[in-house]
Amino acid sequence: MRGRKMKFFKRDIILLLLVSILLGAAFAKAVSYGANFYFKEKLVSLVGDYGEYDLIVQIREDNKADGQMQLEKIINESLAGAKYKEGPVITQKANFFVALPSEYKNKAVYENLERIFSSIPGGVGISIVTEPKLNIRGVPSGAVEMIIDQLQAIPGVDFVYRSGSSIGVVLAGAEKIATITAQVEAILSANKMVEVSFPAGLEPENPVLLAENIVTALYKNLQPKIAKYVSVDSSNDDIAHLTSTMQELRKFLKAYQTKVFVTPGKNVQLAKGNTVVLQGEGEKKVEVGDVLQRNNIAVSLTEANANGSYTGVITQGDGSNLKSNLVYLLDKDKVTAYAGTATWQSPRDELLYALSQTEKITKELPSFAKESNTVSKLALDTLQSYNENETNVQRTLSNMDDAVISINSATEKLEAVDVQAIQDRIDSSSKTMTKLLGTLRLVRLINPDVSLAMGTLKETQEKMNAFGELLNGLNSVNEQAIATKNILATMADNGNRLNSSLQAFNQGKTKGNLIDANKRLTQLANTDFTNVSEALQTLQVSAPKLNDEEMNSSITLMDKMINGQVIPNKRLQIMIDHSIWLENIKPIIYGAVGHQNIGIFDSNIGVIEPNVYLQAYQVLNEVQAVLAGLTAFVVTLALLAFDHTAVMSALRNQRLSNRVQKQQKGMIQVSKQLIKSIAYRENVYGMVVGAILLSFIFYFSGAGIPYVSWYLVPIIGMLFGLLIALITEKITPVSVEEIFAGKSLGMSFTEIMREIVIPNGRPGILERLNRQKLKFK
Amino acid sequence: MFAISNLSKHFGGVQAVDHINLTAKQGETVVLMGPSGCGKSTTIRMINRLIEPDEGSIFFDSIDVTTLNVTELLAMRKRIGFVFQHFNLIARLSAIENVMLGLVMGNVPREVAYEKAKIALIKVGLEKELQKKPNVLSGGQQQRVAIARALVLEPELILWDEPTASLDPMLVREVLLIMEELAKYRASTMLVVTHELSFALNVADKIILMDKGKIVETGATQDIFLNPTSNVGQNYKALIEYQMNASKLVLVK
Ligand SMILES: Nc1ncnc2c1ncn2[C@@H]1O[C@H](COP(=O)(O)OP(=O)(O)OP(=O)(O)O)[C@@H](O)[C@H]1O
Ligand SMILES: [Mg+2]
Repeated sequence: MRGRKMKFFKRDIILLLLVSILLGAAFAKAVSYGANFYFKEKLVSLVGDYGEYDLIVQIREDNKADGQMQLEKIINESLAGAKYKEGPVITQKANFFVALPSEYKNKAVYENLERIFSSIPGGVGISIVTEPKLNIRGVPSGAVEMIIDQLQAIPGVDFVYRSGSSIGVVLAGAEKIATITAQVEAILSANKMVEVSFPAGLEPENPVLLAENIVTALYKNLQPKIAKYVSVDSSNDDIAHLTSTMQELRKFLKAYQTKVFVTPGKNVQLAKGNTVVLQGEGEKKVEVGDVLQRNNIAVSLTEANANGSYTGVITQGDGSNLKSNLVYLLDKDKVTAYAGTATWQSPRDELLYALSQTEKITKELPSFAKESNTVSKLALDTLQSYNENETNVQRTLSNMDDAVISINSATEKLEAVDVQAIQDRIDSSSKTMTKLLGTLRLVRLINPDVSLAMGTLKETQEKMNAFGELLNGLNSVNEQAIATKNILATMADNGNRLNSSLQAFNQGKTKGNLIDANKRLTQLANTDFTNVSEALQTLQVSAPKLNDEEMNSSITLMDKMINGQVIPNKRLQIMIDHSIWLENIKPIIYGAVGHQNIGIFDSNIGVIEPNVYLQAYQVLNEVQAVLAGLTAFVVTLALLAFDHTAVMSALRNQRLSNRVQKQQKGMIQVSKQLIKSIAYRENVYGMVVGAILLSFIFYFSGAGIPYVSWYLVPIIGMLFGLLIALITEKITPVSVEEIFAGKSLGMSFTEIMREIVIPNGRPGILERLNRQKLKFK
Repeated sequence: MFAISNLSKHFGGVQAVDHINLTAKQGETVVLMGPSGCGKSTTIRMINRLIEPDEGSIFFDSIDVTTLNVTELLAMRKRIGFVFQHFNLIARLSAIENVMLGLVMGNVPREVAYEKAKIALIKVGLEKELQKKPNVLSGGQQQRVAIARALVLEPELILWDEPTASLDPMLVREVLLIMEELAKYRASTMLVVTHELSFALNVADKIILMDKGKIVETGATQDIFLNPTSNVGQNYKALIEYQMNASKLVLVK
């Protein structure tokens, strides 16, 4: 019966639901869209629309007017066709959005933006906001170029640029962003970075050299596809390599420099850092009160020795010109006092001496050999009358011994020089110096002071080149000298034996020995002494070109450069195939480093940075969905409260007119009653309507709330419906009396709803719809 | 002919009406009396099923009302007028609209309904209050609108549930006069729940006394009030004597 009473009214309710859902969804959508629109406006005003602009140029607020003018100028002159828009001022920085025409969207422009915009007064920075774009950060500098090349090859990538330690990958379109992201990830994960970290105090002196050794060892042992030292970028960061070379060169020069040892005179106080003067080629003898003459020798004391003496290096003149061992103290360029006596040691002179000695010997060798040959022949001929000739033979042999000793000392020196290593260093130093000169040439435009440094650098470079060539010769000299030495040594050895044989006067044996010696001397005579001699001569001529003063200023210059350029030496980063196990890498690195007191770790090369810009838009969309969801909640509650309470109250009234609520006692009974009460018609109605309203409004408004799954939505709707149904009487009380009156007049439920309940209820959609059907308006 | 047989209703543990039987002839005025809470309202409301009975039958014009379906019930209710203690006017409608309501809902053309309603309101003396809303009418006027609303449908049976109980004593008369007139000059059967002894004495054809859900005495007015058999009857007799003495005192002076 109840069902049939409801029958007519159902149509009204269904119509109401349809209208409610439509209006509710539209409202929720409008609210969320409106709010989103507002936020998007804000965002756009802050950073422009997605992909609309390419750059944000920030200018300090104080310089805004000038900066803007300059910006316009730059755009007109260098980036014709670019458009800019003034953005908001945030934290005292004015923002200008610049949209670049496509011809400027390339690596060259993007990597030069800082330079292009550098003339803007008050310019704070430039952000690249071109979209769609992927940002990769954490790529070690040495791997950047390689990674850039690989990224550039991905189809769909427009161009790739480097920005500090990050890489920007600008895509041709947003469609393939997912595939490209995957490809980028594949590239980044093809290799890994092995980090070698050194504890304090154990840092390698020359990390570049060590890293190169490690890389060589890795290639030799593990055959990786790639192994590369990436802490510094080899192709870009020449400075690190120059520094490394300079360190080697500096070592060499320091060893080659003349060292002056000063013993202070009585009552003379000297200190590290003092400069002293010694007599050189100066015409006038050094005396107290003099001004330092250009031709005398200035020495800077660099070390205080335990025995009270000082070690110094020549800062003016050359060690070879030292004429006196008297030392005078120098204050600026005034000779102020007698300071003591000096001795000196010149590794260069020693080498020169060795060279000249060797050369002399070498020159004499052919004649000597001939002479010896003759002597031995003579000896052989006159063996019978050996008494006469014994002395002669002995003299010859002792001559020969002297020669061997001389040659020995010369070749020892030669051997001590690792010609090849120096050669390599000189080569690369020279190259880098050329680059450095190029840079300095530019700097000179701004600061002419560097001219001097450039001159020195250029001279040093020329001398280094000359020295390099010289060393080239030395290399072959070295080999020949060693060969000569060996021959001489054998010869001397044989000669000695000859001597003792002679003394022992074993005629037959002596005869045989002499023949042997003769043979060897012939061999010696065949050696190309001319060649050896020439090489040694060149060496002698060239070596003095680097005088002590020049060497010192070179060392000082290098120190300055090296000081400013610290190669990170606490950590070496080496890139290697991702597939090679760290456990296999470790022993090789330990081997190359020489000890195991290091840490070795591996990590990824670069990560794709989350795109803040894109995320902001995603968040906005989410916010829109959440807002729609929240609005749907509110709208559903409002619809339930305003439209459906009239129905629910009427239903409740209908139920109560026939039933009595028993007074319930005890928790169990009360809760039983509660559960039962859910089945009351107004509650069921509320839950059904709530679920329908919320679900459909949610669906049609595109709502979505994090953590609220789709199946929770109708449940929440049901709870809303139940909640409103429970308090329906408070929201929309119905007049029982009027309902009874209606019933007594034979009015149906629908008629009572239309004529009595709804017009008395709260204004709402139902009330609106009802007006059409109302008989008594 | 109207009859109730074995009619019962309980609310939870309370047996509000307990297997009662009664009959009324066509045109008869039956007055139902009894102490408060004895089940009078429940009984009278079950007759047009404003309250659904638990068991029993209600015969009206040989039809058992309890067996009717919704449509039949709605038609039946139009034949049975009901006047409530609290008038139960529709607050948002004017006096005449209240009276028209039943007619318009019964598809009587609006103009016809208006004329009929106007006549009904004139009959109850409210020709000047046609367009007034209930909230500006006095209690007596409101109840007269309610009576007109019941009468306009020309019911064969009129049920009255203490129509004067919530009226100011000075306004009771104007309602009682109408009721007495109806009882005397109309063919409708009337079942009246009231405490107005004068009305009972003047116009009742039959008095039914109820107590605790049961009918304790039924009979002609004189029988019930002169020789009551039930406690309820005794109490009414005493009350009549008390009121008669009081009116005598007033009239003598
Ligand atoms: N809807 C209801 N829920 C619970 N109990 C009810 C309901 N209606 C009536 N009752 C109870 O049923 C009994 C009979 O009530 P009823 O209203 O019929 O008495 P009455 O004779 O009309 O009294 P009164 O003279 O006060 O109007 C009473 O005890 C009352 O409390
Ligand atoms: Mg009552």
